[in-house]
Formats: sequence, structure tokens, C-alpha cells
Amino acid sequence: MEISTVQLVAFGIVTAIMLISALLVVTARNIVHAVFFLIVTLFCVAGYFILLLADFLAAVQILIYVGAVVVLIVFGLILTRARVGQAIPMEEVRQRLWAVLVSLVFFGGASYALLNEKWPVVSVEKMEVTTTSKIADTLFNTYVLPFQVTSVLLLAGLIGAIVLAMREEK
Amino acid sequence: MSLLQTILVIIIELAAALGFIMVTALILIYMLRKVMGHMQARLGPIRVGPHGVLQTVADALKLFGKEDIIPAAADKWTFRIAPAIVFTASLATFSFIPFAPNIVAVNVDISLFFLLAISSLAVLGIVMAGWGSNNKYALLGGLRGVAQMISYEIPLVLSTLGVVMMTGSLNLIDIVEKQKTMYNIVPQFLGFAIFIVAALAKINRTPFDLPEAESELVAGYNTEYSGMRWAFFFLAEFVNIFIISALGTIVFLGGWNGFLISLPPWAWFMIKSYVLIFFVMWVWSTFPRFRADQLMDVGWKILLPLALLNIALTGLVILLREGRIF
Amino acid sequence: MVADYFNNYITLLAFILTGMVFLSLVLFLCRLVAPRNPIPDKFTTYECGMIPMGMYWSHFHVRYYIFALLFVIFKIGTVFLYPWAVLFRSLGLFGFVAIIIFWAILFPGLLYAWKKGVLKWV
Repeated sequence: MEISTVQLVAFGIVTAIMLISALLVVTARNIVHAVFFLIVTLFCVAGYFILLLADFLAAVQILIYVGAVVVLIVFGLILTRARVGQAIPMEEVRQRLWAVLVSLVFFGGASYALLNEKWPVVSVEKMEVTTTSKIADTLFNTYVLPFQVTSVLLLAGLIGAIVLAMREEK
Repeated sequence: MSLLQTILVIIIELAAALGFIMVTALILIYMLRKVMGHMQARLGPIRVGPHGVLQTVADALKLFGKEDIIPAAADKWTFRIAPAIVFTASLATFSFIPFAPNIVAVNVDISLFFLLAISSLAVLGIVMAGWGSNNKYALLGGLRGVAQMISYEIPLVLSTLGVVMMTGSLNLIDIVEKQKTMYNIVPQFLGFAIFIVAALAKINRTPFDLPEAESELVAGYNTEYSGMRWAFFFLAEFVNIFIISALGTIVFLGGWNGFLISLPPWAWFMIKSYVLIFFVMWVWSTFPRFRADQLMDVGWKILLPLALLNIALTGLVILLREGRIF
Repeated sequence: MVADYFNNYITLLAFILTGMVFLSLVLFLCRLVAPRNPIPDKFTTYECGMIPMGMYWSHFHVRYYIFALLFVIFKIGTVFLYPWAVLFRSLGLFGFVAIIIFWAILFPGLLYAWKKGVLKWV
């Protein structure tokens, strides 16, 4: 079989799983179940990266999103006052209008950005795996400054959370 | 290679891997009971088969015949999926381990990094088991377990970086081949020490076995599990002990590079792995359990700064030796 | 090269799927052998033999969240270290200084958490 065929078929399957699980994230009546479906969705994104020959990014996706951000969400859930772990009846959901509005705005923005981007297309013969050293080269030669700014962003997030937690404790 | 051949190779690899981990788990459980028994001046299993070697087989058969119980209060599907995730994470992690230059199922350029990423998925299974059981002990044990695993994962991931800097590759086979003359444990002793401590905590072994502290939490996240479902948690735990020992062997102890006598590469690899496994069991039967606050202190206040220091020192030494500074 | 790459990841996928299927298969076989005698007492939640009391989902301390956040942030920092370590020799002093600055900005976050007593688990 041609590699491009394999890629195409796999893309279709991954996309189908991703869309279904993403839909289930939104429609699940139990918020913990929603988190579990989110895991599947995020895992499918890692599948996309592998299909795009960027396996380092796939590993990062699994390590950061599936392995860490989901844990953060679960630990965030146990702090809330909501009746976590139970199905919430539809009548009690009051932010339906806002939810529709926010998702429409987000969908519009994302579609606009995606459709207006000129995507580089590589022919099948010229496909090659994005190596880790290539990523390092881009990160530390071309984008050193944005990379440094990332650390400031992370630090701000950290300090913000600590300050909020301290207030909670009082 | 044709499509049929490829599929055949994958099936053979899968069968071999499943067979290997089953046998390894049986051997490790028997070994643990014997090692622990003798260290505590007991005999360990002795009745079934010569010196009790068939004891674990008998145990496995017994578990196989147990009634399958899902508590009425449990969240059925979460309860069912949790052991599958823990077991699958172990099996997928196992697929990256090279036993010899040509005995490896998944050999990608970034196998070390991908291995660490996949192994972090077990956390999800533990959250699901703790939450899905709908039991106080299980939830408490599960959340404690997750808090511990995430605290030690960063030191674990950082501890191998010194080796990556020296090797310049994330491929496990490359890392072993670079250790022909000197094992990484010599220049990277600090890294190795951090690796071992973090690994013990990551696989929930004594002195870091708080998530399943029997005397406090009944059995932790798997309180409600019984029969074959419980057996899969247990199986995954022993596979993880093997994986972490094998990883330590590959990254720090020179993998299949032998010394003095010449043996086939896989034999050297297994010998070294089993030495590390014995070390884990030795610690297991010797040390008392840490307190929860001490546990977090060691992870965040000692191991994490030490691991970063190790990376900085390694970088400095390499740059100085190659004359990049001054 | 690319064919090899896909071969390896298809194998990994096969391992993941097998993990799931194998477990279901064993449980199915187990069901054929195992006895089946459902009495209601077997399906109660275990609480040392007592009748279960209260909600299992009580409120947890905020420190769980703080540790999870610390975890995410330092893991992101760690992920940046990997490509750097692979290319360490050719990046040389420049890359070394870049990463030192990065961690010199990030690490005080841990010290701050330490100082504020957030890292205390009691």
C-alpha cells in the first residue's frame, strides 16, 4: 500500500473518533465523564501529529495534555462546589445561551484563521520525518526570544495560582 | 516487505511481548516472595512444586476462577476501563524496550521520550479506578497516588537528560551503543541516583507505597477490585517494575554491553535488569514507609533542584572539556 | 525512512489495541469458568464491613490543585529541555546560556511556592 493512502485512511479514522468524542465531551451529563472523553479527543490530536510525521510533538501532546493537563482538570473538579460525579439534569443548566454564543465566536475565529493561512504542501516523495534536532534548531536559533518569554508566562501562571490558593486558605 | 509480512511480524511481536510479560510477572512475584521471605527469616512459598516455584501459577489459576464483581454503586464503565488503561499503558511502554540491537518492537528516533510519555498515561487509569469505584478509600488512594506520581515524574524525566546531552540522541539503542567504553553510571552517578529514587516512587514501591498503604487506606485505588480485574492491576505493577529496571539498565548501566565474559547481548541485558529488580525488592523489604508530607518534600525540594543541578553541571563539564568556554 | 516510521507507529498502535482487547478476552474467558452467584451483599461498597456512610466525594484540599499546576508548568519546562539536550553540542555556549536564563526565570517560581508554604503537605 502507498504511504499516502495509509495516511489518508488513518486520518479519516482518527478524525471520526475525535469528532465523536469531542461531541460526547459537550453532551455528557456527568462532568467527570466529559473529562474522560476529553482524554480520547486529546489522544487523537497526538495521532494527527504522528500522521504529520512530527512524532516529537505527538509525544509532547501525550506528555503535556493527556498526562498533565487532564490531571489538572480532575484536581480542579474536586475543588468545585458542584455535585461532581453525578449527572446534572438538563433543566439546571442555565448558561446555554452563553455557551452557544462563545462557541460560535470561537468557531468563527478558528475557521477564519485556518482558511486564510497558506499551508505549505509537500509532495509524497519529499516527505520527511521532523527530527528533534530540527525542532531544537528552530527553537534555539530562530525563536530564542519567544522561547524566553514563555518562561515569564509560565512563572506568571504559577505565581497567580499560588496567590489565589493562599487567599482560599484564609 | 509486503503488507502480509508486516502484519505477520507485528502479530509475532505482540504474541512474544504478551508471553514475555506474563512469564516475567509470574517470575517476579515468586522472586519477590522468596527474596522477602528470606530477608525476613522466613521460607516464602514452599508447597506447590519444588521450592514453591509453581505457587504463582496456582495463584493465577485461582484468580482466573474468581467471580467477577462490580459494586452496585460503582460507575460501571469507568470501573471497567480503568484496569485496561493501566495495563495498556504498561504494555505500550514495554514495546519500546530494546533487549538487544535487533530485538525491539518499536524503534523510533525518540523512543526514550515517547516511552516516558506513554508511561505517564497510567495516572489516568488510577484516577478512573479511584473515582469509578465510588468508594472513599479508593478515591483517597487514587488521588494520593496521582499526587505522588506527578511529583516524581518530573525528576524522573529530568534525570535521564544528562545522558541525552552526552549521547545527543533520544534513541534507546543509540544510547546503549554509546556506552561501549564506559557506562553512563560513572559520569552520571547523580542522575542515576535521582532516577532510582524517582522510579521507586513512580511505580509506587516502598518506601513510596502510600497510594496503597494497606494499614491506612485498605488497599488504595484498587480496594473495590477483585478477581481478574484486580489481577490486571497487579500484572501491570510487576511489568512496570521490569520496565523501570530495564530502562535503568539501558540508560545508565550500559544495556547489553558486557564485560569479562562474552554472552549474547540479550543475556547481559537480562542479567543487569534482574540485578536492578533485586535492588528494588531489597529496598521494598527493608525500608519503612514515608509520611505523605515527607514524600512530597523529597520530590519537590530535593530531587527536582538536584536534577536541574545535574543538567547544569553536565552541560558545564561538556562545554569546558570541549573548550567551548575560555 | 518514512515507511519505517509508519511501521513503528503502527506497531505501537497494535500494542495499544491489543492491551484493550486482551483484557476483554481474558475477562470473557473468566466469565465462562467463574461461578456466578449474585447476592446483593456482594455488591455493596466496601467500608470495613460497616454500612457505607455519607458521600464518597467529599471536598479536597486546594493543595492537590496547586501541585497539579506546578506539575504542568515544570513539565512544560522539561519538555523544552529535550530538544535542547539532543542538539546540545552544536548549540554550544549560546544554547546553554539560553536554557540557563529560561530556568533562572522559571525556578524562582518553585522557590516562591516553597517560601509561601504551598509545598507543605499537611
